Amino acid sequence: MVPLEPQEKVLLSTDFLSTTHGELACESCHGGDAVSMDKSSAHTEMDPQPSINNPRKACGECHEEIVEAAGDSLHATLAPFTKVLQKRATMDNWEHVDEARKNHCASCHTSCGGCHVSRPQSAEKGFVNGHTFQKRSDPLNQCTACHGSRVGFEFYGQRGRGDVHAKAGMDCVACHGAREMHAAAPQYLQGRYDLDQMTRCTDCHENLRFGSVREHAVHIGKVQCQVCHSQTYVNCYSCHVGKDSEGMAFFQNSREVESMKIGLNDDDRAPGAGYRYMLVRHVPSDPEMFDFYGKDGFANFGKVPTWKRTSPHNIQRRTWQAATCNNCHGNRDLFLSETDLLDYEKEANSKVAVSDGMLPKAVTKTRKLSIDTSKVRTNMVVDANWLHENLEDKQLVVIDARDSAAYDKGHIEGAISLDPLTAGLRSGADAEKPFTLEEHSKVAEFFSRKGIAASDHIVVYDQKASTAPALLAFLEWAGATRVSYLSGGVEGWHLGGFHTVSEPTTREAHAFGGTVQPAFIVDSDTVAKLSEKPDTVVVDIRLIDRTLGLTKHELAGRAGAIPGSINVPFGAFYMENGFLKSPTELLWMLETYGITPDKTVITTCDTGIAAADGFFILRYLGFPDVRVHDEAWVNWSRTR
Amino acid sequence: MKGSSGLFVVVLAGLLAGGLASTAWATDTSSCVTCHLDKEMLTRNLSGTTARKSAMQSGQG
Repeated sequence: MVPLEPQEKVLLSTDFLSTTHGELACESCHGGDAVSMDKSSAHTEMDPQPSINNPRKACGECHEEIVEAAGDSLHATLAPFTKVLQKRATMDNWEHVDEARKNHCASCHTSCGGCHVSRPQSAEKGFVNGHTFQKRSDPLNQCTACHGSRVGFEFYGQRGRGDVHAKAGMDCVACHGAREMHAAAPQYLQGRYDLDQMTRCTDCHENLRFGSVREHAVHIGKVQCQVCHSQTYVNCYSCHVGKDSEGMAFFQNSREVESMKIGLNDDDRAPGAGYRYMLVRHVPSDPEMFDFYGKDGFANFGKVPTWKRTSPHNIQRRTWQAATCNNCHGNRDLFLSETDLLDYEKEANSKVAVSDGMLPKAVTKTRKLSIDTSKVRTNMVVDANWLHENLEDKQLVVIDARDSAAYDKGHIEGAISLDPLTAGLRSGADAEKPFTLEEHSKVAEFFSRKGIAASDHIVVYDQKASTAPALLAFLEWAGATRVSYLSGGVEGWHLGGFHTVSEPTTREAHAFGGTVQPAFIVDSDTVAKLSEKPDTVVVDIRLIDRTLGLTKHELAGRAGAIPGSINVPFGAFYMENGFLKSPTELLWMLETYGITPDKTVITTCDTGIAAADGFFILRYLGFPDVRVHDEAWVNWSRTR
Repeated sequence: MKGSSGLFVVVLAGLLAGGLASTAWATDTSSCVTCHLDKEMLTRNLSGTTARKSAMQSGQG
């Protein structure tokens, strides 16, 4: 979601004025003084969010039935969430738990305006489309503005491969229509999955049990669809809330872990949920989360599981856990176990954890996967322990590829700072061809000044793999022969128990001396020519919304994608914090897209950085012919 | 007959003028619309009013 400037948030479009709602007087919904030209008096008693504060008057006069029902909808009341808090609290301490709920959790609710006019309140508001009312909610500015990290990121490929429904051009409303969104939630509703109007996979995918897929016939009724068709997802731990010295409310999530866990279905009463196994996601709750408002708020913490049924929005037809029977059957790591539980949550999850006896047994007769990992260049990726043990090596150069502010705050001892986005390795945004690599002599000279030699063993790290793999690609192009990525980056370093320092490091300048590898970089003309060949694949590393043309880079000539390109979002390669997935899984995944080492692979994106990231990963996986389209979509779209 | 027809035309003209005036009032003469269509003025008035969140906040919501 692109941030809006304050004036953009309240700027009307002239188109709005000719709509049905635009013909109404502003004050009929918002109040205030519509005659005054003085800002202060014009806004006196003005209600910026009438659909939240007075929906019956603002919307109900015309949309009476919808407003009446939607007033009790899950979006309006968040009722199941309150029920969970009530179960965990006691009558004695409910008062301060409820105060915390109101201050920190209740602002997430929304009403008519947050879905049809503006960005929701909890997403810092702002008109969508100049206050023009939209029958269909905007997935990028409205739905995922709130449902971001656990839905939007997964759906559009910021984490994982994205969702097959997103790739097919389906938006949120395609599944979650008005029938479900406007539905009044009954008082007795225990959770959102209990809502009769809740959409289900089987609403569209009918009669699977009797279809042509053998696995459906075997598994339907026993496992939730997502168990086989989701990818890994993020789990949050130990959210704590409070107010700072200025009285501003805040929350702090202590840990985010990407994983996948299958648990036992502890409540099969929900419609369509008669299965035994389901995916569970860790919720950020812990017994002390509301302690700012009073101790022992959750005296009954053990009454509600902290590993809850989940329906990740990252559905794929083929997934790693279902690639072969024994990726799931007998795979203890995939099933929630006692050892996954923290001390304070053992009781809460006793009905959800899968005991050894409940673990589906490994299958003896099954098709084995045939993934050739012999070509993987294993030395191109190192972990924190390896780096710690080798830090004193004189041939080792460690580069921090984050911005200088992050470096100054704390970096791995001995690391030099080099942010590829600002170092001058590429042309600027105003150049005739923005963001393309500079001449080799200039880049090599820059590395020389930094004290980097092409023959050094160069280890690069960052945070969340945003720039380090790209810098490694640029180094390889310039002629470096031993380059490695620190998997997990600076977070992995910390998780390994190692410290960072703030004292900066510089190296004495000496000749870089590399031999350029011109074949690693291709321009748009070459991409156009090569993409005609059957043995060439163009891999677009951008998010799904970009490739669908829903959004575009500000410097791009238009939205869209290179014809024939295959979209593999950057997040597909990583777990949280830039930990690379296993080579076996990555090679398997690429094969599902038809991206195999026997082909020439060209990586592309908006500005060349993600493309260079992808280039590095494919090189690591042993692909012999990989090229970076550094002109990328920004330049391609200006001339084609 | 002629007189009542003239009266009808006058009444109709009055109704039309009233209708047009009320529509125009919502869009043209409302200070809300005047100001909220003026990007430059909104920029001047709202510069520096960035949304704030606590510096202590961390993690995904």
